[in-house]
Amino acid sequence: MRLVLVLLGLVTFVTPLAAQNDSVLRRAMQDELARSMQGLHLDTMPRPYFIAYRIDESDVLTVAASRGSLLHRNGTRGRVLTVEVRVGDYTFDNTNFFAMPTGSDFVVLEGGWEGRNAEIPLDDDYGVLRRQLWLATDIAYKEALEQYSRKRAAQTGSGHTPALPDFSRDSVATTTDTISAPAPSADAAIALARQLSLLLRDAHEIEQSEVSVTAQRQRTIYLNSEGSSFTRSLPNATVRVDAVTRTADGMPLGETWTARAATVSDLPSPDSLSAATRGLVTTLIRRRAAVTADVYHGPVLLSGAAAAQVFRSVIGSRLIAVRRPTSDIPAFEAMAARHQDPFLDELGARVLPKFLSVSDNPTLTTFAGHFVGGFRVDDDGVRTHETRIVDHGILKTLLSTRVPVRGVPSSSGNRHEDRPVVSTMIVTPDSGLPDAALRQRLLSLVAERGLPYGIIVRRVGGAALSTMDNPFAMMAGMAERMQGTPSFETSEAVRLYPDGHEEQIRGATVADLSLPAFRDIVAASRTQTVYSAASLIPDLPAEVPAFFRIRAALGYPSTYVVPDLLFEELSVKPTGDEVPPRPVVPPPWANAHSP
Amino acid sequence: MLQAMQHELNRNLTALRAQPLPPFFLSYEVSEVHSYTIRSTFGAITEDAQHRQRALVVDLRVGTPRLDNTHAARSDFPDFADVMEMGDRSVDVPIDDDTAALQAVLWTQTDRKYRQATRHLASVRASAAVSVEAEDTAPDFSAEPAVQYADTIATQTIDSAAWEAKLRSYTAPFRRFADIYDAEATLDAEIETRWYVNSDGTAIVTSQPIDRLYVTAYSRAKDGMYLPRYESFMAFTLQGLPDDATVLKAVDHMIADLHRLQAAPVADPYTGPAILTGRASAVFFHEVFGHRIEGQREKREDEGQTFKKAVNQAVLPPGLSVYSDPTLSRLGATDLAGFYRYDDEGVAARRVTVVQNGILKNFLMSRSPIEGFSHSNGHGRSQVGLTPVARQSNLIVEAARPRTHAQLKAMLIAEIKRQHKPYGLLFDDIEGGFTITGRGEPNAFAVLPIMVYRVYPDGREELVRGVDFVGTPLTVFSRILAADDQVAVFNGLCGAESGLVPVSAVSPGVLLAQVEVQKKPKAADEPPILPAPEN
Repeated sequence: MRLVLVLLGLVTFVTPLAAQNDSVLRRAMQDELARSMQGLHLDTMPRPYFIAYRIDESDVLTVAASRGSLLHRNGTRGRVLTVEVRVGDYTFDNTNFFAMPTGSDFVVLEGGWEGRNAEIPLDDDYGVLRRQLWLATDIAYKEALEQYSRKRAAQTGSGHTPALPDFSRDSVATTTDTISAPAPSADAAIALARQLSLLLRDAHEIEQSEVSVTAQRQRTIYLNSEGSSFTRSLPNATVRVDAVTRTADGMPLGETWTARAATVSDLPSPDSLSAATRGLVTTLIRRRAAVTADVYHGPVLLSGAAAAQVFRSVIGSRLIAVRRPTSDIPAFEAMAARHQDPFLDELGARVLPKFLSVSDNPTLTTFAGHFVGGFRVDDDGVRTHETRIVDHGILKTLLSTRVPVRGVPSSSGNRHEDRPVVSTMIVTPDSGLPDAALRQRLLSLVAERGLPYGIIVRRVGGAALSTMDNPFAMMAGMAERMQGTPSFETSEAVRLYPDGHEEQIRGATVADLSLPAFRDIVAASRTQTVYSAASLIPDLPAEVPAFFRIRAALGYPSTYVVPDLLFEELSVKPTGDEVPPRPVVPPPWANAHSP
Repeated sequence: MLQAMQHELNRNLTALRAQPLPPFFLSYEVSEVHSYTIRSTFGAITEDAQHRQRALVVDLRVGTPRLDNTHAARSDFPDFADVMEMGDRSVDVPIDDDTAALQAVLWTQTDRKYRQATRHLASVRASAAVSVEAEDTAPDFSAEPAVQYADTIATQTIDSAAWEAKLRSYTAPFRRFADIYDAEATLDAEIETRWYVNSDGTAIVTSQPIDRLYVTAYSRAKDGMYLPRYESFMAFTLQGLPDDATVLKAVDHMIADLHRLQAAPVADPYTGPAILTGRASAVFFHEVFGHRIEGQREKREDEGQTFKKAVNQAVLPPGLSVYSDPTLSRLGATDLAGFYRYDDEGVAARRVTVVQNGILKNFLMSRSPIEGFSHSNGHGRSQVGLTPVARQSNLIVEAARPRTHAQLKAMLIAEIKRQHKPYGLLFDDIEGGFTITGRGEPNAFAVLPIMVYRVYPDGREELVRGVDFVGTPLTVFSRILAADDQVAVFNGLCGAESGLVPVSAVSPGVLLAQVEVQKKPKAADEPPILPAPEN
């Protein structure tokens, strides 16, 4: 069996991306862009007024281990081309429009082209790159023409004049934003995953566990017909620990812990990662002793990660300007109107208490010692800067791309792929309370209400490993989020009694946490928690082609910096999920270690 | 590995046997796929990736072999919990040979499966109590002898630099042509290793490399029609793949065919006589015949059960015999993709005579019996991580009195004249096909040809494009008139409910008195506006 390891040794990451010269790619992009701007037109149809090429190049390593043993190691390298072609002009072009797909739109896929996205060679072969750019531009232009004429027809039919331009004029930028990093080392990642997962094996209370390490280098090369161009390169590494234990009555309790850095070697020291993993085990074991939750209405303190998780889900991730497309299908327009972001058309409204302000700052690479990534130029080629989104409770603007929405006429420099993203979002209180004072404030609210205790929620959501056992809860959660009244299952919550002692509860859900509740936040802490939302590259099955792996790895891991938030009135209810019976068979390690 | 699996199997079974609903069968299958993929386009590398993953499938049965938890409960709606659990039918297990870590996964998964099985059995019993008697009253599970077998674990050494160079050279020739819009060459070098144990005492290790090289390219006709060409090669060793000269010759052939297709007229819908050459006929038999002799298609009540009552009756013309032989690894100089020693239910592979001299004799069987066929014949197969059902292996069609190709063509011309048709058809190369065996939809098939010729009464052949060969199975089998001596092999991947499995189909060319062709779906895309950039 050991022979197989000889084969594995062949996985090499020979091309150091950051060190690689981008001149061949860039020359091919420049030449084809110039030729297309000059010559690309069909009969009497309009020529493109804007073309942009973006090549995302990714080198991704994912490894996972369980109980000291390797689950998988996958390395993928690839390049994906995205072509953007606009016809018409800045005021009215082919975009921000949704047309019913016609049969021919699907047939294009036969040829292997994913519309305007294409996989392009890893080799810096000028001729092949030109050829791929040529074909992708041709397809994108024809699609743009079709959309443009259908949009014109729909507009003429409806008699509406468009209120907003389709594309903003932003300044031209030429930037290089590269952090060089060595090729991800599989050996180091594997060693780390094994080492941490062994710690989980040694805790007999942990039934399932997994440690994943991903390391990624991403380089983006961009060029548009206005003259903007950039090369951006960002390394990103994540370690993630998942563990599940079970209470005496069979309820699975899961938890996840992650750490991020630019590279695997920049992650916290093995000793501190080990300490964090042991801490996770201790936390889970402590939670097994928790009492089950009762129905509770009253003041709730969202503390630490829970505050960031809930803020992100209800408010933060929606502070983006996504234009609602027009359509030639009335039903689509009606649906889009129902599902539009709640913050569109809310500029000037109070969305948070007066003592809270929110900003987003893509230029940050670290925050309070935590790696947060960051970017100096976005996927429109717009230079990034800090944006103050909420000023003393009042919504001032939204994070945007070059696609204007009402009240947000230009880009904030937050485009990533095809939409605005949160980079590092910081919630700042005017005068945050020290932790002890905030606890005291909670207790005084409890006393005012004549309640026996208050509730502090420290973490919501469980481990990825245990959610697959409860698909119903997952589905229900999705439905609630669509209705705008999400609920959050707590993974760590306590009752705080007037004498100051805490009692752990489990199976509790913070119910119906809607937007208005945030306006009534009564206090916030001085300390802030740094929380990275989704930072792990999805682990796709081996048969998924590189093109989709690379695409999946392009998502931007947003960071939220949020103080503890004290709500005057929230509902906490028992989750009420059916508890699966405890396994009939004892775990295989039980005999070896217990009498 | 096997020992650890057996140990955990016994430990779980012992504890579960004390339960009110004890399992009567338990099996573990750990399968590893170690794949190496290198791909090029127009002479440049687009992908060079390696993956190694192991998946576990647990089969746990409660109830009795006659009626167990796998029995199809008669409900219009699938069990919602099952739909959601599709994703964890198989779970990742460590790729290290770490027995303690493996046993931890086996334990977790056995518990999950036991809970699921008891839930299913309850609904199966409820459903059986309120339903009319099934059309097929065979038990749910057959008894099979225990077997022990162990392959040595296969290894493959891939010189990635050398293979990258080869793959670059295979797609470089397409670069010369601006009217070829995509061209790719892919090497998929894979080793599939399976460790299987069950509560009957079976313990098997099989390990098989399978290497595939395929080249695809497409062009468009002036009217926008999508024109693809495919070439694929398969062998059990990298050395068994064709040499560069052979591949490059095939590439030149593809380029020439694409240009001929561009100039070819669009064929009209037509019925009349036709010849399927060996490769086309192999796909035809795989789709139209092979899928209908898979045991469960005669059992499930949502299936067409085409041949259920046809045993010992004529289903093909006299002189034609069909057998399925997974034990055959080679035919002449060609490796056969459908080769294996043991199936995915731990049953020894064996040759099955399906049709003898036109008379239906047997079906391809997994451990799910049907009336009159109470045992498996080693055809329970699945893709890594999925639940096995009866699938094809190497499907071999033999003619008792083969003609030469020239004789077959002469017979075609005679048939054209007899039917007063202006021309007949000759299907040469095909990209694949599909068939529908269920009820509620027409029980039809389509074979998707790439190279189709009109054959005129004077013997002239004219390449045409844009048609698919369609029909219904029972009608078309009755129209087979003769076969030739040009036996061809089609190695491919077959997709069905248990995933993709490698299969071969081997057939001589056949003459059909009547086929029907319909127009292919058409793209409206025009060729690119700008000429190709200069290289």
